[in-house]
Amino acid sequence: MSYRPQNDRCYHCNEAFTEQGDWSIKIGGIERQMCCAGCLTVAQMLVDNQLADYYQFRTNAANKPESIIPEALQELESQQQSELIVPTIVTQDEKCHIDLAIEGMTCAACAWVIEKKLQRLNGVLSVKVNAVTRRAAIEWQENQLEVSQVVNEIHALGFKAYPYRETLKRDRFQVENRQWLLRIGVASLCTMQVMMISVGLYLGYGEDLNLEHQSFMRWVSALLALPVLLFAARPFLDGAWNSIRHGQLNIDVPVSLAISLAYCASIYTTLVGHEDVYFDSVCMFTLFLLVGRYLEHRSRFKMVMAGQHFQHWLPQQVQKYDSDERLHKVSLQSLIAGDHINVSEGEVIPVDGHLVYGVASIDQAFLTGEFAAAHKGKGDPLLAGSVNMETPIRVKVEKVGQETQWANLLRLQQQAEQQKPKSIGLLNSVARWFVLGVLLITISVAVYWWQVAPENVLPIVLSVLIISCPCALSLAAPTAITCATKRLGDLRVLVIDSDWIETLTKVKHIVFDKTGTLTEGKLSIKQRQTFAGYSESKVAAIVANLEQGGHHPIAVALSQLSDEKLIVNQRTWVTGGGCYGDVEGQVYYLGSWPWLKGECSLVEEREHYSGVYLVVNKTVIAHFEFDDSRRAGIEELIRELNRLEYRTHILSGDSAVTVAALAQQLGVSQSASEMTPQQKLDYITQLQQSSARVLMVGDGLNDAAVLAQADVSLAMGGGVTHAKESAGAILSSNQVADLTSIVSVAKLCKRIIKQNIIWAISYNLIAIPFAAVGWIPPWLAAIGMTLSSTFVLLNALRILNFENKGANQIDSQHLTKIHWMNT
Amino acid sequence: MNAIYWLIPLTLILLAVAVKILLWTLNNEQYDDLETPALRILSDDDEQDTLDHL
Repeated sequence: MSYRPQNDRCYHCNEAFTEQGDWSIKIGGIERQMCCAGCLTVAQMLVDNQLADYYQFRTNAANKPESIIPEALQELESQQQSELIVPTIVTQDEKCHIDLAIEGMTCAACAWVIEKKLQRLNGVLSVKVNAVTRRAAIEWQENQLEVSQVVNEIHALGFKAYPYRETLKRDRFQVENRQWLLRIGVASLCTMQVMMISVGLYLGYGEDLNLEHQSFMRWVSALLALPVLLFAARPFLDGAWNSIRHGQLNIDVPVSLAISLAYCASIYTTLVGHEDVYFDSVCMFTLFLLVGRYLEHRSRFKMVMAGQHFQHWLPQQVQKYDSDERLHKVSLQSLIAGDHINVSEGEVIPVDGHLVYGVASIDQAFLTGEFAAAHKGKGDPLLAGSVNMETPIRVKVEKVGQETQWANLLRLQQQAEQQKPKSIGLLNSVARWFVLGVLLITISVAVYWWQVAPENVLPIVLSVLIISCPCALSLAAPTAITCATKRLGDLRVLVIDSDWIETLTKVKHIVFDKTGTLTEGKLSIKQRQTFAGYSESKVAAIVANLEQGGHHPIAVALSQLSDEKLIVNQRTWVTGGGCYGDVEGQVYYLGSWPWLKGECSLVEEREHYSGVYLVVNKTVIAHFEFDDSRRAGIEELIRELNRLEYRTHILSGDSAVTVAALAQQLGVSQSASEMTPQQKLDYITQLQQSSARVLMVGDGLNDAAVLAQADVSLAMGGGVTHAKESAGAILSSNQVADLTSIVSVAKLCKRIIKQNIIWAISYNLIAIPFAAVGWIPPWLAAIGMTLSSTFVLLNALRILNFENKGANQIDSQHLTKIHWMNT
Repeated sequence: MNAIYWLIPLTLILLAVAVKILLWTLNNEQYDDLETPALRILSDDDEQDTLDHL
């Protein structure tokens, strides 16, 4: 069914109502509320163009379009984007073709809407939007259309269009995907044919089957099974060969053995004797195994896709200093060496260059793997892909795009990733011994029957090999995890780490960040005071200018206080503390009391403090207190978590009073306040030392380290990019209250995996003796294996129907269609 | 029964055609995105240029 946004939220993008104003529009006869002018504009346009069906078809909330920029600027943006798109147009026979990467698509309905809208443009010949790769292929009649019109239309819908660059992983996976499908297709077709012929052969046993006819049919079967063996079964054969070459035994070994043995023996039989042929077993066996492997591949693919979203890691739009020293937004591609750009704190540096002045804290985790920030001074080199931590910096551009270190690294990474990622942990440890056991059994069975009744050796050995094939076992985990990941997708959780679900079930401690996680993160000023004779407006102007450009919710709230422009010569942000800078010649400090006291030695000890204080010349001249609304359902969440015997924690950089009050209200076990990022990290590390697993839920810049350190981490969708990159999963709905459901799904997944494994192994253990004794012909063995795997699959599908009957059931999400593409 | 001597080769030819078609659909990117095409047919507006879009 279509996506239904929650009550009390924007109908278009499902965000909370934060701006004052009434934006409503009638859609399908019902008045709907939007959260801002941007969403309203898009909705209006959809309605005006008879595209309101979008709201019917969509399976996900829309992306919130950037706030409405003045027409002129908007045009400029479109024009700039068109500029980078124009060179990529391919013209042939008076037809122009272009491939665009679309940003902001959240589900297939977005693709539909774009297609429909663009098709209406005069001159457009064809539009194909792929919702999986987010790629639009557009063809139009030369001279009848300007590419800027296309870009404008896309912008008007709330999306962004960029030239499509063959993103490595994404396209390679598409190619691999097709390979898989081809193998499965060939295997299916041949299986069907061979089985049809087998029917003829079986029916002929009782009757007098002409030897020539039988021979003919057998040869045809051999011919048909050949592509299955040589092409479709290739992954297994290669896998087994690789494994043996390294002196290892993996599951591919008995599988390849069974398939090859069956085939060769059957050929021999066809040439010589009267026994049965097993071409049908070869085909069916291969087919089913292929399907299992493909499922596994798909789930890995989905996870890679999910992570890939942030391999638009480098920002596409950059703030460049113009000759008049003002900041303009330009595209990344338009930068040339020598340009000066501004990189805000928390954002990724998009180019190779060096620091123009001042100091900076840079996270170069992508290079060194170390989270610890590197300190850079004036003139120090900076690399594309690293994250600017503390304060906005000015960078002089040296290398852009393909020439950067980062691009180099990506190429290397691409090559390195030809190797398969590790398979699900549970299986690996079992596999080796299992395979060894199977081979031993097979050999002893062969030896036994060779002495007793040699003509039974082949069918029995085949049956044993087929029946012992751990096909169901290898499907046990991937199917469950695929289904669990889909179900989590319904809860708007984007899982990136493959181990995330499993590790989640082992968690004992749950640590929450406060601002932005337990609370909405949109601060409003509750109270303000000025002292020492400063006027409100003066203070407002100082604070607004000082906090300009900051990302912390406090900075966002304060920067809107005044329109008066003052000259800020220098500005430094200290994460977890505050901000200081030179405004019109005076140095002001704005931050929390402990920071002002501790770091800046500006004030004395005081018992009660909250919010932030403005200080100049060691005098407190203003005080601001903020209101931050709690997210919905938090009380029930904590109650439920406590009931389930989790230890809950709140870690926050906020003042002790606020945090303690919140902790008390909610019933959280432990809380710690006024924490610096380092302290948060220490806290988590200490918890982990008692060998307890920790789940961290956070969103801000100061959570990134903790998110990476925790055993399991969940980043809020509304959080900072860096936090999202460091976490194992992202909660794009920001509804922390769903945590109980999420944990329940993970636990269910684990239970189902256990059930599947027990079933798979029991089946094998029970069936092998029967096969060894000779009671199971190979075709029956193949069927048994099929049924066993089907059982595992069906069991895993139960996860999809999971409904959390406990607290926090969110009604607006009655989901029957399981949909994948979040964010 | 001798019919199988030409029936089966005929089947094989058809099979080869089927595989060829499979290859074509794969290369034509038909399996790349399975959700969007489902939506394409759902609206019933009066487009003049529908015929050009396959």
